[in-house]
Amino acid sequence: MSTIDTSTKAGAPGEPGWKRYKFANHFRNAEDEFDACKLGFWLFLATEVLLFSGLFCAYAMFRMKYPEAFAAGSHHLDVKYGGLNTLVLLVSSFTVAMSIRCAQLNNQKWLRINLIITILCAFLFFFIKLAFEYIPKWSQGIRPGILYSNPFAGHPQEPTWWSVYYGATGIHALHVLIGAALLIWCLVRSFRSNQYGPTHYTMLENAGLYWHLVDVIWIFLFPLLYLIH
Amino acid sequence: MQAQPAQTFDPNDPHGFADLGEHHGHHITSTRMLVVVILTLVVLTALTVVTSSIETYLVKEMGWMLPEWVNIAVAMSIALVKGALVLLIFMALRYENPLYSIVFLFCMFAFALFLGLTGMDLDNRGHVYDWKVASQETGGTGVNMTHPPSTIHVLGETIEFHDLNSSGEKVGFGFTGSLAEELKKRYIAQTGITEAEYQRRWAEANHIHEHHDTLPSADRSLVRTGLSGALDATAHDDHDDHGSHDTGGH
Repeated sequence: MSTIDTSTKAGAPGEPGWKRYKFANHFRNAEDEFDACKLGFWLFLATEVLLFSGLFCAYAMFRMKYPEAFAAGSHHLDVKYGGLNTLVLLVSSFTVAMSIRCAQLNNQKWLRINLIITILCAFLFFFIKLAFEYIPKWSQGIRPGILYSNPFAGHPQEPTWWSVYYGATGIHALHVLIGAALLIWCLVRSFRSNQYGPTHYTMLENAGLYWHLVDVIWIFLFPLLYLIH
Repeated sequence: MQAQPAQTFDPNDPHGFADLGEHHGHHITSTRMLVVVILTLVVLTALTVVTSSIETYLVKEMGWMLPEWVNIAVAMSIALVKGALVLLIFMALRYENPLYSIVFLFCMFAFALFLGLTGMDLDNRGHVYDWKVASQETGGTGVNMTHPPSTIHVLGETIEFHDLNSSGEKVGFGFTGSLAEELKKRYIAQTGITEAEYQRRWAEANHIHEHHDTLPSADRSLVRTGLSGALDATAHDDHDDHGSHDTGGH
């Protein structure tokens, strides 16, 4: 028979952050708080999926109307960079899952190492996107919609494809940066006070879920943009 | 369900829910499982890239036109498996409270409705309401749009696309019809090249080489009938070709 935790005192000051943490007093216990936070976060993730579903829908509809323009536009993308970025995100998803496992097992050192690898992967992804894709394309006038200035369009509607490409990958890249910021915040809290441990790691768990979602979105964007032609 | 235990009134738990046993602790996914999943994901990524290049190879070198759905079906099936693996294992939907899965599945249902109804609408424009087509407005044609001034670096040349206003400042140019056509016209005018030279450069810019003389093509377009003028018309289209003309007829 479990008992209700009615103590109002957090752990002793010398103890790590995760032991000192006291759940908010409108919850019965720490598990209830964790479940409520996580359900709330899943609801937020659902809205994120709906945000991207607008972009996927735009892709599907414009592709239905102008398949040749999509073939011509996709032809300019290099599978090398798309594939490399896919691997980078997959590895980072693995390391963030490992860091949560380390929190559950109170392995503070590897929690941080895994988080650092994840954050480096996030910046590597963004660097590859910017340096090998956005910047060279933009300077050649391969830009979205009305900004398009390349005189060698493969199809009159090719600017439409680039609108979809920059829209989808741009919003995704923004999510990569937000996810990296969240993970850096987690890392700082971990360094400062060992904030994550077996009984309390809600923030790390949710930041991890966000990061996995960013990965899932890319898993679909990669074949749609780079492989299907 | 357990019987309500007899106990004294607890102000923190007035309804006595504490013993219903909703919590079974957090699932800790084993390292072995996580490693198996990441390796599977990497293998599937390699597989999807390889199948896509095989398809391109068959089209370009062997001239085998696979039906258009093969490419899409293979790539998207692999993506679905990869997405499901991340959701089920990394995001632990498989081990956690099914409520999270229900939230996610409901979201997928909303997505399917969104995609399905929009697709049905676009695919059937002017088909169902043939008699209504004439009242639709023309839109999305880029008529009278103003292109911003821009400098591009392409094929070793630096080209500026702009007009000058009365005070001699660089401003964008206005155009009607196709932006792509307008850019081509201006490029030819500014560089003074012939149409044939333009075609050569066009092929170079689009990575088209001797052994395959066309763009990789999704030109296996759906034959759709009855598209209204609203989405297809350009600036030069009059209102005489809207309605149920058969776009697949030529």
